[in-house]
Amino acid sequence: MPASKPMKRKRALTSALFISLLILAHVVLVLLYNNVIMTGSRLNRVDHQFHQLTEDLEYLILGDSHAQDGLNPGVLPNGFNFASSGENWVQTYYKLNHILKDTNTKFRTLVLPFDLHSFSSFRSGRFEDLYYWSQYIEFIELGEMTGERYKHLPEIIEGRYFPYFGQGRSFLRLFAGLGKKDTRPLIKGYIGFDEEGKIVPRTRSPEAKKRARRHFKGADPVSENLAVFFKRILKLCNDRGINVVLVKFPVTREYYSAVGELIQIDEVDKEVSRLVPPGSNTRILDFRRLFFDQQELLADVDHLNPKGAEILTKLAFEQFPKKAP
Amino acid sequence: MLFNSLEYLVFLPVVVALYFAIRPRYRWILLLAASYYFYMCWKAEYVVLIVGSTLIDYFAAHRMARMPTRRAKKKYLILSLVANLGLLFAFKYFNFFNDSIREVLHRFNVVYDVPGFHFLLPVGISFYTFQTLSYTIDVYRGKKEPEKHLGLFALYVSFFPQLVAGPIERSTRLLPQLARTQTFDFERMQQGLQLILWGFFKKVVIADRLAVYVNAVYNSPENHEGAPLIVATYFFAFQIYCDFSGYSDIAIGSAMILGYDLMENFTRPYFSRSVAEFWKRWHISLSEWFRDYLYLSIGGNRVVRWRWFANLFVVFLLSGFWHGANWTFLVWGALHGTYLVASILTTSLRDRIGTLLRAAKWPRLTAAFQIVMTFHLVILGWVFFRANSLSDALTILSRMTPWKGWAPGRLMVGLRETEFIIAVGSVAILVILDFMQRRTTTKLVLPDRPVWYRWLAFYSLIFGILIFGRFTSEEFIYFQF
Repeated sequence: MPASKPMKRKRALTSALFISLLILAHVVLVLLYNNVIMTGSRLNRVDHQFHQLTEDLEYLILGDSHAQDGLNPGVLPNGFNFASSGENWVQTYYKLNHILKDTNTKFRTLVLPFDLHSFSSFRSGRFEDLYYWSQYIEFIELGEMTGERYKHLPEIIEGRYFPYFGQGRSFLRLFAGLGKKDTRPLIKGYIGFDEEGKIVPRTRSPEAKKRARRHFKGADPVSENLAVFFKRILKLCNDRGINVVLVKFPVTREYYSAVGELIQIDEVDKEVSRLVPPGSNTRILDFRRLFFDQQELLADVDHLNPKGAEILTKLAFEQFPKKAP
Repeated sequence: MLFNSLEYLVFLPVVVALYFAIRPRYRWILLLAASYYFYMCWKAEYVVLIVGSTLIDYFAAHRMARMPTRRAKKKYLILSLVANLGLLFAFKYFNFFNDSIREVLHRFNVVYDVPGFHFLLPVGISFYTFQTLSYTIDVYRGKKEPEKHLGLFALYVSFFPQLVAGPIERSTRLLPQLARTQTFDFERMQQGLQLILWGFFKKVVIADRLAVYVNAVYNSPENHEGAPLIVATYFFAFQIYCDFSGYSDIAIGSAMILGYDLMENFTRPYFSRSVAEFWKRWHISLSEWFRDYLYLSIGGNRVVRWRWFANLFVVFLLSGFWHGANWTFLVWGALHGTYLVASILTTSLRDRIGTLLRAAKWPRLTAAFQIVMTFHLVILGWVFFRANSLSDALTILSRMTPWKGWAPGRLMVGLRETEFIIAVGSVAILVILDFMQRRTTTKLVLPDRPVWYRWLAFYSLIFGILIFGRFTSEEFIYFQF
């Protein structure tokens, strides 16, 4: 039976009230997320510290967790570690682009990770923490590159208007005190690996296999998309006379052999080395096997602990270029 | 198109708005176009298969109705069976049989060189072929007049809410509804949205989160021992339930908004007190299909005892095979067939034990015991269902040592601690809600509650999905079948 006019009016008002309350709750959540939860996140803290810099840098470190945890800028004269966990070449490119174009911070050498999994397609197109990355990544341009201008529309919407999407962990941490909040001091963007000693020798081998599979199983070890953005990074630096240091970070023997079961390491090494133009201002430093016999310097199968990071940074610094190209 | 995609969130409101905006006589065209578009978003060329199946069954049913004798009708029934099952065989089972034959002949040093059929399995093929088959069989049996309107029949085969993963609707239920003029009903829209939200919650909050853990363990069982294997198996039980029943809820809810009633596909299956009851509550539309079109056709329980058992066993074996061309599904089906036969054989023994233990005195305790037992029998079956191979399933079972692997470093596989807590918490919410609805037949009955209660439930669901959901657009498990 069709609804009467007063009934229709009542329904319209009820629906309007329901939607208004929904929008209000959404706004409250956005504000809560941006102003309370986000402020304390590591990503935000490092970002904030970087944008507070008033002097130029000698060394800027970008890249994923290997660089984030493996290089201590406190050891370097005038360095800053702006790397972040899970960061792929797409993200690094846009972050670098932002630093070069939108900030006044200058630097002479860019340090990047150059690891076995750095080009693996397992992280190609993977964007987490969109609330943060949407301020850097040009999603429309990214879509255009693949021929689909609006391919990343969901990421744009989520990043800009629904920052709390899927952030249940952060809310639980805020309201129920679940999970550990990282309040350790941040020194030049660096905190260090926060789970020291998690991997004991007995569990190292299964853990190594698990991580190796995560990085390479069913994945293209050299993703074309990531290679494109890596070359763009090198070009940006080359055009501006910035040195680039590519670091192959130390890993455990177990991880190295587990990876060897999934990919042809030598072949992948050769392929990614070809992405670096000969005679460019780029230097590759290979420390991959450095701590095979000192595995107490690793916090897990492929990340250095703070002590390992300090030793590696000193060793790497000896080979860093000391002046502009 | 996936239900849990941004596209569907736009697609459904647009279809609903257009549907009620245009004249009723043209609505079937809109729904048919929308259904084909929905399917073609996945792989456009495979729409030919649906159209082909529709035309053959439409033609076969009409010819059948004109035939004077049952024998003459049978020819057209066979045409429909061959066309639909042939399609299913070609895309789904050919490679399995081909590889099995090659393996057997290879052992006898016989060269067998028939190449495989390397095409992508059309999504939902097992569902829509079974749906159209039910129509031609019903026409053959005289239970249904052939549908005159080809457009409506095509819509019955391809109706988008239930096209790719059911519920497998009967023509006797759905076709008359499609022929009726539907009017917009505010209450139905509310109920439909409520079901859709609940379906989304089950899919993106529970199933997709559990999937991370389950995949990490089941894709490399040799690397795990004890607790992770046990936890992953329990998680899979809830993952598959939430994934599939979530899909069914979204399907039923979407159809409800448009004015159509699809059948219930799940009614709290993990509260079943026997395996037989479980099959009356789990994937009901498929269980009923097998009962009506296979089990009863081969005699059901109106035959000698051994034939009855054989009938049960065959039906479950085929039900397992329906899910996929893999030995794991066959073993899963055989296991459930064995459960049913064993339960019949042990009825009197169990009754005697019950009397001895005075079970009637503690009906709740007895019921709880039966529920737990049934749940664990079902869980054992899920090991075979989810494992990638039979050897993986056996590895999992042999390494399920309950006293090992409880250290947090070993237990947390793929999920961080807080994610694990969310996973367990959301499963607890599901079980509590299922338990609370034990006296009702429909899900989430809210209409009788006060407004603040209903709104609170709506807001909790919406923000629960947004905050705790995993938005990775994971496919529904049953898409692969």
